[in-house]
Amino acid sequence: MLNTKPQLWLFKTLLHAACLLPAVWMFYLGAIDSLGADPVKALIHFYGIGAVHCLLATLSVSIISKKLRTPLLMRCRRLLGLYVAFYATLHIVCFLVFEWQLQWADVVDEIIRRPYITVGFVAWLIFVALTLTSLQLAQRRMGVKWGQLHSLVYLSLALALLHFYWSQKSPWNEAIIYALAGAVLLYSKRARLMEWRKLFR
Amino acid sequence: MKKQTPTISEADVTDETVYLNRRQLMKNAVTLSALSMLPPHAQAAAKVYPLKYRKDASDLPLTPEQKVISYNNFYEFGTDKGDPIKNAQNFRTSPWHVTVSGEAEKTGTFTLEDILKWNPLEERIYRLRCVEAWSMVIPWVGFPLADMLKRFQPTSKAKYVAFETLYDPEQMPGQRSRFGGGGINYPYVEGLTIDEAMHPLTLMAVGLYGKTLPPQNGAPIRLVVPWKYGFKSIKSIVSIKFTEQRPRTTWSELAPNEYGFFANVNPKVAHPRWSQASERIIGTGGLFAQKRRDTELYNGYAEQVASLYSGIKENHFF
Repeated sequence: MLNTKPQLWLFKTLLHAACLLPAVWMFYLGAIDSLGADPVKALIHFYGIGAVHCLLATLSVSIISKKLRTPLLMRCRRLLGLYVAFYATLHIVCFLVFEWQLQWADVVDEIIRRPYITVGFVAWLIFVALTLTSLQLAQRRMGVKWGQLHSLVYLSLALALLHFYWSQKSPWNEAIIYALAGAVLLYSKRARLMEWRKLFR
Repeated sequence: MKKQTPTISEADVTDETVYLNRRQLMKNAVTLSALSMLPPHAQAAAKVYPLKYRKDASDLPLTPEQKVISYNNFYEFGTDKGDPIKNAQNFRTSPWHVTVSGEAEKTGTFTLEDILKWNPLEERIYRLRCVEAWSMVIPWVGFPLADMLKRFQPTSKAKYVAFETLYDPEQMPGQRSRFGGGGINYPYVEGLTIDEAMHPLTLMAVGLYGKTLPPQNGAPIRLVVPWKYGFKSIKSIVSIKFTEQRPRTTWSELAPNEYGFFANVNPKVAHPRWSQASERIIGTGGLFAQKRRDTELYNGYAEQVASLYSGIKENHFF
């Protein structure tokens, strides 16, 4: 599979549909009050978990591509990575607009005072930085620094999973399963994990 | 752990697990999204029966019944708020017994039918403030807990009242494992001081919206303490015990730094992880009809209950 350009094009289209349609559909259900008793919480959680799913998928691409010997698969990685930022941004927009009704002072206060929100916010800042430097032009201009910057993605995974775990009411929750999956993934990438530190030398 | 060999690279060794894991994750993702996309009304409902009761004249705008019965924190039936309505429909509430024990003259085991004969039912429209910073307004049907407790003639040693939820892992999937039930050491237990229990606002509820309680809302009999965070209002009660010592309470045991014994609503005392200053109202309408309100001291019941705490020095707001 995935040996020719048209196949890649088709696969990318399917990926776009798989990432985009649920986000739009769920928003529609929320808008017409068909998302359970609390559409706001349901949507915030859906976009948050969506971002985590996309992030785990993004970081699995190189492994799968190697395993299946389909180098073309690597061309899908940026697409998936951009959807991480897309879902994380929707997560924050819903938090800001529907949960907090745009009460900016309260939101800033929450981001600063609630460690689990601070951690999630920092993960989002990383996604934004990676999105802004996602064009090949940026990659060429930044040279070796580009790779260092983009290794921040591993830090963002750890932060996102911590944010997920920390946001739960009970200490025993599904976020633990995600954390284990994340730990396996990070272990497999352990050689590159801390490369971003070179940025600050 | 597998050692590296010249023929198998390190990357190859970990690949398999990650790869398999990812498939599982994607499966979970698909199931999750598919489940959450189901319309909420596609679920079978347990039988509820109409009740006779005296109406409450309160004009608080009510949370729609469908939302009250489909958004429940009842970890015995799953930790997601949508789980109880799915998992509790075959819950058996008849026969039902409540055991009364401890520091009282008249103790024993009573059937629900007995208990229902003792007091006339009345409607109470209360705001329920969850510790998770949302609130609902619910028309409960029940009777003051005090009217029930007085029958048992508590002695002067009765300083507290301890309550216990049914423990029945066969019927309650959340009780089968630590993980499935949010880490709680079941059965769920709660408690009040005797003064709180005897307060006229404290209600034993057997119904809502004019009908018997649906199982996911704590059928057949539950506590409602409107000035405290929702987790104090214990569901599906099988035991009431008068005690001299302060009883254990589930959430304060699970996370002692986050939940206390009193758990009185106070906008000025934040939960360690989030603000309690305001709350989102679970009402009618979708995303664009959402409303927030400022949380009130004692959830708006300060006038009636503040005097209960005039002599208490410890922090009773958490």
